Amino acid sequence: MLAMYQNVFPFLLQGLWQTFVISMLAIFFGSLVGAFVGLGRARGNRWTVRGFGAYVHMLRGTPFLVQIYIVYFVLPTTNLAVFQLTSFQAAVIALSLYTSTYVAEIVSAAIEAVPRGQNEAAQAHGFNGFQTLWYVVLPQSFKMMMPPMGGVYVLVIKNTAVLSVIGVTELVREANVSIQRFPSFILSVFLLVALMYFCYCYPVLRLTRWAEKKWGGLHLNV
Amino acid sequence: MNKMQRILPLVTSVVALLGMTSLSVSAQDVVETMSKTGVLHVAVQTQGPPISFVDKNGQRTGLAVEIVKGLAEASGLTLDLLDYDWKGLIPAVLSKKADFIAADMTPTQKRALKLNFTIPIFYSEVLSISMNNKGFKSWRDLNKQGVSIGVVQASSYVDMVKNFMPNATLKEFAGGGPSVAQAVASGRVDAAVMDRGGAMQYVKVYPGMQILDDVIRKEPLAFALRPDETHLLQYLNNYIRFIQTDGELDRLLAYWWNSTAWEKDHK
Repeated sequence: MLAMYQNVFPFLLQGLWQTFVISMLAIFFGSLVGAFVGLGRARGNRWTVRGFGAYVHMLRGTPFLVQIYIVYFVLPTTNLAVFQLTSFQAAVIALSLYTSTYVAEIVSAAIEAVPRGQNEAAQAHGFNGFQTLWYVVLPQSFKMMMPPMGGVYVLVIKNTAVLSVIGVTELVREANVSIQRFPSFILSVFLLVALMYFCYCYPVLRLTRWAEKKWGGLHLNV
Repeated sequence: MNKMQRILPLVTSVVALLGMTSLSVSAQDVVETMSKTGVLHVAVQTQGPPISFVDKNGQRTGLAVEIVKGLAEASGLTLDLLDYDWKGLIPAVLSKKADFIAADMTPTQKRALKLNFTIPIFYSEVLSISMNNKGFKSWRDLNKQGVSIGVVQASSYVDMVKNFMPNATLKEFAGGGPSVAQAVASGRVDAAVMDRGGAMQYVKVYPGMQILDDVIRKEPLAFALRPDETHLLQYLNNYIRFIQTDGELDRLLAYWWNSTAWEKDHK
Protein backbone atom coordinates (compact mmCIF):
# COMPACT_ATOMS: atom_id res chain seq x y z
CA MET A 1 0.00 0.00 0.00
CA LEU A 2 2.72 2.44 1.04
CA ALA A 3 4.85 1.42 -1.93
CA MET A 4 1.87 2.07 -4.19
CA TYR A 5 1.40 5.57 -2.77
CA GLN A 6 5.11 6.31 -3.06
CA ASN A 7 5.01 5.25 -6.68
CA VAL A 8 1.78 6.99 -7.63
CA PHE A 9 2.06 10.24 -5.67
CA PRO A 10 4.66 12.04 -7.85
CA PHE A 11 2.58 11.31 -10.96
CA LEU A 12 -0.58 12.64 -9.31
CA LEU A 13 1.25 15.78 -8.19
CA GLN A 14 2.32 16.33 -11.78
CA GLY A 15 -1.32 15.99 -12.83
CA LEU A 16 -2.46 18.38 -10.11
CA TRP A 17 0.07 20.93 -11.34
CA GLN A 18 -1.28 20.65 -14.88
CA THR A 19 -4.85 21.02 -13.55
CA PHE A 20 -3.74 24.05 -11.52
CA VAL A 21 -1.99 25.82 -14.41
CA ILE A 22 -4.80 25.28 -16.92
CA SER A 23 -7.59 26.23 -14.52
CA MET A 24 -5.75 29.35 -13.28
CA LEU A 25 -5.11 30.55 -16.83
CA ALA A 26 -8.75 29.85 -17.74
CA ILE A 27 -9.99 31.69 -14.65
CA PHE A 28 -7.77 34.68 -15.45
CA PHE A 29 -8.58 35.01 -19.14
CA GLY A 30 -12.19 33.90 -18.64
CA SER A 31 -12.74 36.60 -16.02
CA LEU A 32 -11.22 39.30 -18.23
CA VAL A 33 -13.29 38.36 -21.28
CA GLY A 34 -16.34 37.70 -19.11
CA ALA A 35 -16.16 41.12 -17.43
CA PHE A 36 -15.99 42.78 -20.84
CA VAL A 37 -18.88 40.72 -22.24
CA GLY A 38 -20.96 41.23 -19.08
CA LEU A 39 -20.43 44.97 -19.23
CA GLY A 40 -21.46 44.98 -22.88
CA ARG A 41 -24.57 42.97 -22.04
CA ALA A 42 -25.64 45.31 -19.23
CA ARG A 43 -24.56 48.69 -20.54
CA GLY A 44 -23.97 48.34 -24.27
CA ASN A 45 -26.08 49.35 -27.23
CA ARG A 46 -28.64 47.14 -28.94
CA TRP A 47 -26.01 45.34 -31.03
CA THR A 48 -23.56 44.52 -28.27
CA VAL A 49 -26.43 43.29 -26.09
CA ARG A 50 -27.63 40.97 -28.86
CA GLY A 51 -24.19 39.90 -30.06
CA PHE A 52 -22.83 39.11 -26.61
CA GLY A 53 -26.18 37.53 -25.71
CA ALA A 54 -25.81 35.11 -28.61
CA TYR A 55 -22.22 34.35 -27.55
CA VAL A 56 -23.23 33.63 -23.95
CA HIS A 57 -26.23 31.49 -24.83
CA MET A 58 -24.44 29.52 -27.50
CA LEU A 59 -21.63 28.51 -25.14
CA ARG A 60 -23.85 27.92 -22.13
CA GLY A 61 -26.30 25.91 -24.17
CA THR A 62 -23.79 23.34 -25.41
CA PRO A 63 -21.85 20.73 -23.39
CA PHE A 64 -18.25 21.64 -22.57
CA LEU A 65 -17.08 18.29 -23.96
CA VAL A 66 -18.44 19.22 -27.39
CA GLN A 67 -16.78 22.65 -27.18
CA ILE A 68 -13.32 21.19 -26.60
CA TYR A 69 -13.89 18.72 -29.43
CA ILE A 70 -14.67 21.62 -31.74
CA VAL A 71 -11.72 23.78 -30.64
CA TYR A 72 -9.21 20.93 -30.83
CA PHE A 73 -10.47 18.65 -33.61
CA VAL A 74 -12.80 20.65 -35.85
CA LEU A 75 -11.16 24.09 -36.11
CA PRO A 76 -7.77 22.73 -37.34
CA THR A 77 -9.50 21.14 -40.34
CA THR A 78 -10.02 24.67 -41.71
CA ASN A 79 -6.25 24.52 -42.36
CA LEU A 80 -5.81 28.03 -40.97
CA ALA A 81 -2.50 28.36 -39.15
CA VAL A 82 -4.07 30.17 -36.20
CA PHE A 83 -6.22 27.12 -35.37
CA GLN A 84 -3.35 24.60 -35.32
CA LEU A 85 -3.44 24.43 -31.54
CA THR A 86 -1.61 22.10 -29.18
CA SER A 87 -3.63 20.22 -26.57
CA PHE A 88 -2.59 22.69 -23.89
CA GLN A 89 -3.50 25.78 -25.93
CA ALA A 90 -6.83 24.31 -26.99
CA ALA A 91 -7.61 23.40 -23.37
CA VAL A 92 -6.87 26.91 -22.08
CA ILE A 93 -8.83 28.59 -24.88
CA ALA A 94 -11.88 26.34 -24.61
CA LEU A 95 -11.99 26.55 -20.82
CA SER A 96 -11.50 30.35 -20.88
CA LEU A 97 -14.41 30.79 -23.28
CA TYR A 98 -16.54 28.54 -21.12
CA THR A 99 -15.58 30.49 -17.97
CA SER A 100 -16.21 33.83 -19.65
CA THR A 101 -19.88 33.08 -20.31
CA TYR A 102 -20.58 32.32 -16.66
CA VAL A 103 -18.60 35.34 -15.47
CA ALA A 104 -20.43 37.53 -18.02
CA GLU A 105 -23.83 36.51 -16.69
CA ILE A 106 -22.76 37.24 -13.11
CA VAL A 107 -21.28 40.61 -14.05
CA SER A 108 -24.28 41.75 -16.06
CA ALA A 109 -26.73 40.54 -13.42
CA ALA A 110 -24.80 42.35 -10.68
CA ILE A 111 -24.79 45.60 -12.68
CA GLU A 112 -28.50 45.29 -13.38
CA ALA A 113 -29.15 44.65 -9.69
CA VAL A 114 -27.91 48.05 -8.58
CA PRO A 115 -31.09 50.05 -7.95
CA ARG A 116 -32.05 52.48 -10.69
CA GLY A 117 -32.15 55.31 -8.16
CA GLN A 118 -28.36 55.09 -7.80
CA ASN A 119 -27.97 55.86 -11.51
CA GLU A 120 -30.42 58.68 -11.40
CA ALA A 121 -28.80 60.21 -8.34
CA ALA A 122 -25.38 60.08 -10.00
CA GLN A 123 -26.72 61.69 -13.15
CA ALA A 124 -28.45 64.37 -11.08
CA HIS A 125 -25.01 65.20 -9.68
CA GLY A 126 -23.73 65.71 -13.19
CA PHE A 127 -21.85 62.40 -13.62
CA ASN A 128 -21.54 61.22 -17.20
CA GLY A 129 -22.20 57.59 -18.24
CA PHE A 130 -18.68 56.36 -17.59
CA GLN A 131 -18.38 58.17 -14.25
CA THR A 132 -21.73 56.75 -13.10
CA LEU A 133 -20.55 53.26 -13.96
CA TRP A 134 -17.04 53.61 -12.52
CA TYR A 135 -17.74 55.51 -9.30
CA VAL A 136 -21.27 54.48 -8.41
CA VAL A 137 -22.50 51.27 -10.04
CA LEU A 138 -19.39 49.06 -10.31
CA PRO A 139 -18.24 49.43 -6.67
CA GLN A 140 -21.65 48.27 -5.54
CA SER A 141 -22.11 45.50 -8.07
CA PHE A 142 -18.60 44.20 -7.41
CA LYS A 143 -19.71 43.16 -3.93
CA MET A 144 -22.56 41.17 -5.39
CA MET A 145 -20.31 39.37 -7.87
CA MET A 146 -18.11 37.80 -5.21
CA PRO A 147 -20.18 34.89 -3.86
CA PRO A 148 -21.33 33.39 -7.20
CA MET A 149 -17.85 33.87 -8.69
CA GLY A 150 -16.35 31.40 -6.19
CA GLY A 151 -18.85 28.79 -7.33
CA VAL A 152 -17.99 29.32 -10.98
CA TYR A 153 -14.24 29.08 -10.34
CA VAL A 154 -14.63 25.77 -8.53
CA LEU A 155 -16.79 24.53 -11.41
CA VAL A 156 -14.03 25.48 -13.84
CA ILE A 157 -11.40 23.65 -11.80
CA LYS A 158 -13.46 20.48 -11.74
CA ASN A 159 -14.25 20.73 -15.45
CA THR A 160 -10.56 20.23 -16.28
CA ALA A 161 -11.20 16.51 -15.68
CA VAL A 162 -12.81 16.27 -19.14
CA LEU A 163 -9.69 17.56 -20.91
CA SER A 164 -8.09 14.13 -21.29
CA VAL A 165 -10.10 13.53 -24.48
CA ILE A 166 -7.85 16.00 -26.25
CA GLY A 167 -4.68 14.56 -24.76
CA VAL A 168 -4.13 16.78 -21.71
CA THR A 169 -2.64 14.82 -18.85
CA GLU A 170 -4.40 16.43 -15.91
CA LEU A 171 -5.07 14.97 -12.47
CA VAL A 172 -7.79 12.44 -13.33
CA ARG A 173 -5.86 11.28 -16.38
CA GLU A 174 -2.71 10.75 -14.31
CA ALA A 175 -4.79 8.76 -11.84
CA ASN A 176 -6.26 6.55 -14.59
CA VAL A 177 -2.78 5.97 -16.02
CA SER A 178 -1.32 5.08 -12.60
CA ILE A 179 -4.17 2.70 -11.84
CA GLN A 180 -3.16 0.62 -14.86
CA ARG A 181 -0.11 -0.47 -12.89
CA PHE A 182 -2.03 -0.95 -9.60
CA PRO A 183 -5.50 -2.08 -10.67
CA SER A 184 -6.58 -3.28 -7.25
CA PHE A 185 -5.93 0.15 -5.66
CA ILE A 186 -8.49 1.99 -7.77
CA LEU A 187 -10.42 3.23 -4.74
CA SER A 188 -7.37 4.42 -2.80
CA VAL A 189 -6.02 6.30 -5.81
CA PHE A 190 -9.30 8.06 -6.50
CA LEU A 191 -9.68 8.89 -2.84
CA LEU A 192 -6.32 10.61 -3.04
CA VAL A 193 -7.45 12.41 -6.21
CA ALA A 194 -10.61 13.62 -4.44
CA LEU A 195 -8.48 14.89 -1.55
CA MET A 196 -6.22 16.76 -3.95
CA TYR A 197 -9.18 18.41 -5.67
CA PHE A 198 -10.55 19.38 -2.27
CA CYS A 199 -7.21 20.86 -1.17
CA TYR A 200 -7.29 23.01 -4.29
CA CYS A 201 -11.00 23.96 -4.38
CA TYR A 202 -11.58 24.61 -0.69
CA PRO A 203 -9.12 27.53 -0.42
CA VAL A 204 -10.69 29.05 -3.55
CA LEU A 205 -14.09 28.98 -1.85
CA ARG A 206 -12.59 30.33 1.40
CA LEU A 207 -10.91 33.10 -0.53
CA THR A 208 -14.16 34.30 -2.09
CA ARG A 209 -15.83 34.03 1.31
CA TRP A 210 -13.06 36.17 2.77
CA ALA A 211 -13.38 38.71 -0.04
CA GLU A 212 -17.12 38.75 0.45
CA LYS A 213 -16.70 39.55 4.15
CA LYS A 214 -14.03 42.13 3.51
CA TRP A 215 -15.91 43.99 0.80
CA GLY A 216 -19.41 43.59 2.08
CA GLY A 217 -20.99 40.69 0.18
CA LEU A 218 -24.58 40.86 -0.87
CA HIS A 219 -25.70 43.67 1.40
CA LEU A 220 -25.83 47.01 -0.29
CA ASN A 221 -24.91 50.03 1.76
CA VAL A 222 -27.75 52.16 0.51
CA MET B 1 -23.94 10.70 -20.43
CA ASN B 2 -26.78 9.71 -22.77
CA LYS B 3 -26.84 13.21 -24.15
CA MET B 4 -23.13 13.08 -24.81
CA GLN B 5 -23.39 9.71 -26.48
CA ARG B 6 -25.96 11.16 -28.83
CA ILE B 7 -23.84 14.20 -29.57
CA LEU B 8 -20.47 12.50 -29.99
CA PRO B 9 -21.23 10.69 -33.26
CA LEU B 10 -22.49 14.01 -34.60
CA VAL B 11 -19.25 15.76 -33.68
CA THR B 12 -17.23 12.91 -35.12
CA SER B 13 -19.09 13.13 -38.40
CA VAL B 14 -18.62 16.91 -38.50
CA VAL B 15 -14.90 16.35 -37.96
CA ALA B 16 -14.87 13.71 -40.68
CA LEU B 17 -16.81 15.91 -43.07
CA LEU B 18 -14.59 18.93 -42.54
CA GLY B 19 -11.55 16.71 -42.78
CA MET B 20 -12.66 15.46 -46.18
CA THR B 21 -13.53 18.86 -47.58
CA SER B 22 -10.18 20.28 -46.55
CA LEU B 23 -8.47 17.30 -48.13
CA SER B 24 -9.87 18.12 -51.52
CA VAL B 25 -8.17 21.50 -51.18
CA SER B 26 -4.74 20.25 -50.21
CA ALA B 27 -4.26 16.60 -51.00
CA GLN B 28 -0.83 15.84 -49.65
CA ASP B 29 0.58 12.42 -49.03
CA VAL B 30 1.14 12.08 -45.31
CA VAL B 31 4.18 9.83 -45.80
CA GLU B 32 5.77 12.54 -47.90
CA THR B 33 5.04 15.09 -45.16
CA MET B 34 6.52 12.72 -42.59
CA SER B 35 9.74 12.29 -44.52
CA LYS B 36 9.99 16.05 -45.01
CA THR B 37 9.37 17.02 -41.39
CA GLY B 38 11.08 13.93 -39.99
CA VAL B 39 8.32 13.40 -37.42
CA LEU B 40 5.85 10.55 -37.05
CA HIS B 41 2.70 11.54 -35.10
CA VAL B 42 1.03 8.55 -33.52
CA ALA B 43 -2.12 8.52 -31.38
CA VAL B 44 -1.99 6.06 -28.51
CA GLN B 45 -4.28 5.25 -25.65
CA THR B 46 -3.11 4.39 -22.16
CA GLN B 47 -5.36 1.36 -21.89
CA GLY B 48 -2.96 -0.54 -19.70
CA PRO B 49 -0.19 -3.10 -19.68
CA PRO B 50 0.95 -4.98 -21.60
CA ILE B 51 -0.28 -3.08 -24.70
CA SER B 52 0.26 0.56 -23.83
CA PHE B 53 0.96 2.19 -20.47
CA VAL B 54 3.25 4.49 -18.50
CA ASP B 55 5.78 2.48 -16.52
CA LYS B 56 7.24 3.08 -13.05
CA ASN B 57 9.82 5.49 -14.49
CA GLY B 58 7.19 7.59 -16.22
CA GLN B 59 8.15 6.19 -19.63
CA ARG B 60 5.45 5.33 -22.15
CA THR B 61 5.86 1.70 -23.19
CA GLY B 62 4.03 -1.54 -23.97
CA LEU B 63 3.71 -3.84 -26.96
CA ALA B 64 1.97 -1.35 -29.31
CA VAL B 65 4.30 1.49 -28.29
CA GLU B 66 7.44 -0.61 -28.77
CA ILE B 67 6.30 -1.66 -32.27
CA VAL B 68 5.85 1.99 -33.19
CA LYS B 69 9.22 2.89 -31.68
CA GLY B 70 10.80 0.23 -33.87
CA LEU B 71 9.00 1.61 -36.92
CA ALA B 72 10.24 5.16 -36.23
CA GLU B 73 13.77 3.92 -35.72
CA ALA B 74 13.76 1.83 -38.89
CA SER B 75 12.47 4.84 -40.86
CA GLY B 76 14.86 7.32 -39.28
CA LEU B 77 11.97 9.43 -37.98
CA THR B 78 11.38 11.09 -34.63
CA LEU B 79 8.39 9.65 -32.82
CA ASP B 80 5.74 11.99 -31.43
CA LEU B 81 3.33 10.01 -29.24
CA LEU B 82 -0.01 11.71 -28.59
CA ASP B 83 -1.94 10.26 -25.70
CA TYR B 84 -5.73 10.37 -25.96
CA ASP B 85 -8.68 9.01 -24.14
CA TRP B 86 -10.47 6.21 -26.04
CA LYS B 87 -13.12 8.71 -27.21
CA GLY B 88 -10.45 11.00 -28.64
CA LEU B 89 -8.60 8.41 -30.76
CA ILE B 90 -10.70 8.32 -33.93
CA PRO B 91 -11.30 12.12 -34.03
CA ALA B 92 -7.54 12.61 -33.59
CA VAL B 93 -6.72 10.64 -36.70
CA LEU B 94 -9.64 11.99 -38.76
CA SER B 95 -8.72 15.59 -37.93
CA LYS B 96 -5.07 14.86 -38.87
CA LYS B 97 -3.69 15.54 -35.40
CA ALA B 98 -2.17 12.09 -35.66
CA ASP B 99 -1.03 10.06 -38.68
CA PHE B 100 -2.39 6.79 -37.34
CA ILE B 101 -3.70 5.07 -34.21
CA ALA B 102 -1.56 2.49 -32.43
CA ALA B 103 -3.96 1.09 -29.85
CA ASP B 104 -5.57 -2.27 -29.29
CA MET B 105 -8.30 -1.42 -31.75
CA THR B 106 -10.13 -4.35 -33.29
CA PRO B 107 -10.75 -3.83 -37.00
CA THR B 108 -14.49 -4.40 -36.82
CA GLN B 109 -16.57 -4.06 -39.95
CA LYS B 110 -18.36 -1.01 -38.54
CA ARG B 111 -15.07 0.78 -37.81
CA ALA B 112 -13.76 -0.18 -41.24
CA LEU B 113 -16.55 1.93 -42.73
CA LYS B 114 -14.78 5.02 -41.38
CA LEU B 115 -11.15 3.94 -41.12
CA ASN B 116 -8.45 2.01 -42.90
CA PHE B 117 -6.80 -0.83 -41.00
CA THR B 118 -3.38 -2.39 -41.45
CA ILE B 119 -3.01 -6.16 -41.75
CA PRO B 120 -3.46 -7.76 -38.30
CA ILE B 121 -0.34 -7.47 -36.17
CA PHE B 122 -1.26 -10.20 -33.76
CA TYR B 123 -4.32 -11.94 -32.33
CA SER B 124 -5.56 -11.41 -28.83
CA GLU B 125 -7.74 -13.90 -27.03
CA VAL B 126 -10.96 -12.70 -25.47
CA LEU B 127 -11.77 -14.32 -22.14
CA SER B 128 -14.12 -13.93 -19.24
CA ILE B 129 -13.35 -13.52 -15.54
CA SER B 130 -15.44 -13.91 -12.41
CA MET B 131 -15.05 -14.52 -8.69
CA ASN B 132 -14.58 -18.18 -7.58
CA ASN B 133 -17.66 -18.19 -5.37
CA LYS B 134 -20.00 -17.44 -8.29
CA GLY B 135 -19.69 -21.06 -9.43
CA PHE B 136 -19.07 -20.44 -13.13
CA LYS B 137 -16.74 -22.83 -14.98
CA SER B 138 -16.72 -21.64 -18.58
CA TRP B 139 -17.92 -18.48 -20.32
CA ARG B 140 -20.79 -20.60 -21.64
CA ASP B 141 -22.24 -20.68 -18.10
CA LEU B 142 -22.67 -16.88 -18.28
CA ASN B 143 -25.34 -17.00 -20.97
CA LYS B 144 -28.23 -17.07 -18.50
CA GLN B 145 -31.01 -14.77 -17.43
CA GLY B 146 -30.02 -12.77 -14.35
CA VAL B 147 -26.26 -12.92 -14.95
CA SER B 148 -24.66 -9.49 -15.41
CA ILE B 149 -21.51 -9.03 -17.47
CA GLY B 150 -19.27 -5.97 -17.36
CA VAL B 151 -17.24 -4.64 -20.31
CA VAL B 152 -15.37 -1.44 -21.21
CA GLN B 153 -17.71 1.13 -22.73
CA ALA B 154 -17.84 1.24 -26.54
CA SER B 155 -15.34 -1.63 -26.84
CA SER B 156 -15.72 -4.50 -29.29
CA TYR B 157 -16.68 -6.70 -26.30
CA VAL B 158 -20.09 -5.02 -26.25
CA ASP B 159 -21.12 -6.74 -29.48
CA MET B 160 -19.40 -9.92 -28.38
CA VAL B 161 -21.50 -10.20 -25.23
CA LYS B 162 -24.66 -9.43 -27.23
CA ASN B 163 -23.81 -12.13 -29.78
CA PHE B 164 -22.39 -14.89 -27.61
CA MET B 165 -24.30 -14.34 -24.35
CA PRO B 166 -27.64 -12.86 -25.45
CA ASN B 167 -29.48 -13.96 -22.29
CA ALA B 168 -27.14 -12.17 -19.89
CA THR B 169 -27.41 -8.50 -18.92
CA LEU B 170 -24.69 -6.25 -20.33
CA LYS B 171 -23.19 -3.43 -18.26
CA GLU B 172 -20.76 -0.93 -19.80
CA PHE B 173 -18.15 0.91 -17.73
CA ALA B 174 -16.16 4.00 -18.66
CA GLY B 175 -12.66 4.26 -17.21
CA GLY B 176 -11.04 1.21 -18.78
CA GLY B 177 -10.21 -2.29 -17.61
CA PRO B 178 -9.42 -1.45 -13.98
CA SER B 179 -12.97 -0.21 -13.31
CA VAL B 180 -14.45 -3.34 -14.92
CA ALA B 181 -12.21 -5.56 -12.75
CA GLN B 182 -13.19 -3.53 -9.69
CA ALA B 183 -16.86 -4.04 -10.56
CA VAL B 184 -16.31 -7.82 -10.65
CA ALA B 185 -14.36 -7.83 -7.37
CA SER B 186 -16.98 -5.76 -5.57
CA GLY B 187 -19.85 -7.88 -6.89
CA ARG B 188 -21.42 -5.14 -9.00
CA VAL B 189 -21.36 -7.56 -11.93
CA ASP B 190 -21.14 -11.37 -11.95
CA ALA B 191 -18.44 -11.56 -14.61
CA ALA B 192 -16.53 -9.51 -17.18
CA VAL B 193 -15.27 -9.97 -20.72
CA MET B 194 -11.79 -8.72 -21.64
CA ASP B 195 -8.56 -9.69 -23.40
CA ARG B 196 -6.03 -12.12 -21.95
CA GLY B 197 -3.51 -9.38 -21.15
CA GLY B 198 -5.89 -7.56 -18.84
CA ALA B 199 -7.40 -10.71 -17.34
CA MET B 200 -3.98 -12.05 -16.33
CA GLN B 201 -3.23 -8.79 -14.54
CA TYR B 202 -6.43 -8.70 -12.55
CA VAL B 203 -6.55 -12.33 -11.36
CA LYS B 204 -3.10 -11.74 -9.91
CA VAL B 205 -4.07 -8.76 -7.77
CA TYR B 206 -7.63 -9.65 -6.74
CA PRO B 207 -7.75 -12.73 -4.50
CA GLY B 208 -10.56 -15.10 -5.47
CA MET B 209 -10.77 -13.89 -9.06
CA GLN B 210 -10.40 -16.45 -11.84
CA ILE B 211 -10.24 -16.73 -15.61
CA LEU B 212 -13.10 -18.89 -16.87
CA ASP B 213 -12.44 -21.81 -19.23
CA ASP B 214 -12.53 -21.54 -23.01
CA VAL B 215 -11.56 -18.64 -25.22
CA ILE B 216 -14.64 -16.74 -26.40
CA ARG B 217 -13.01 -15.58 -29.60
CA LYS B 218 -9.71 -14.57 -31.09
CA GLU B 219 -9.54 -10.97 -32.19
CA PRO B 220 -7.12 -9.45 -34.66
CA LEU B 221 -5.45 -6.18 -33.60
CA ALA B 222 -4.37 -3.65 -36.16
CA PHE B 223 -3.34 -0.01 -36.52
CA ALA B 224 -5.95 2.43 -37.85
CA LEU B 225 -5.54 5.34 -40.27
CA ARG B 226 -7.57 7.69 -42.46
CA PRO B 227 -9.37 5.91 -45.30
CA ASP B 228 -7.60 7.81 -48.08
CA GLU B 229 -3.99 7.29 -46.95
CA THR B 230 -2.98 4.45 -49.27
CA HIS B 231 0.74 5.18 -49.17
CA LEU B 232 0.73 5.21 -45.37
CA LEU B 233 -1.18 1.92 -45.35
CA GLN B 234 1.45 0.30 -47.56
CA TYR B 235 4.21 1.80 -45.47
CA LEU B 236 2.76 0.36 -42.24
CA ASN B 237 1.89 -3.03 -43.76
CA ASN B 238 5.39 -3.24 -45.12
CA TYR B 239 6.86 -2.83 -41.65
CA ILE B 240 4.44 -5.31 -40.08
CA ARG B 241 5.30 -7.98 -42.67
CA PHE B 242 8.95 -7.24 -42.13
CA ILE B 243 8.92 -7.78 -38.35
CA GLN B 244 6.67 -10.82 -38.76
CA THR B 245 9.32 -12.51 -40.84
CA ASP B 246 12.57 -11.37 -39.20
CA GLY B 247 11.59 -12.56 -35.72
CA GLU B 248 11.27 -9.12 -34.12
CA LEU B 249 7.52 -9.46 -33.57
CA ASP B 250 7.96 -12.92 -32.01
CA ARG B 251 10.55 -11.47 -29.65
CA LEU B 252 8.21 -8.62 -28.66
CA LEU B 253 5.25 -10.97 -28.21
CA ALA B 254 7.32 -13.34 -26.06
CA TYR B 255 8.33 -10.47 -23.79
CA TRP B 256 5.05 -8.52 -23.59
CA TRP B 257 2.19 -10.83 -24.42
CA ASN B 258 2.97 -14.49 -23.78
CA SER B 259 4.83 -14.01 -20.50
CA THR B 260 5.09 -11.56 -17.63
CA ALA B 261 8.79 -10.88 -18.30
CA TRP B 262 8.05 -7.16 -18.73
CA GLU B 263 6.79 -6.84 -15.16
CA LYS B 264 10.16 -6.77 -13.43
CA ASP B 265 11.49 -4.07 -15.77
CA HIS B 266 8.46 -1.82 -15.94
CA LYS B 267 5.95 -2.44 -13.18
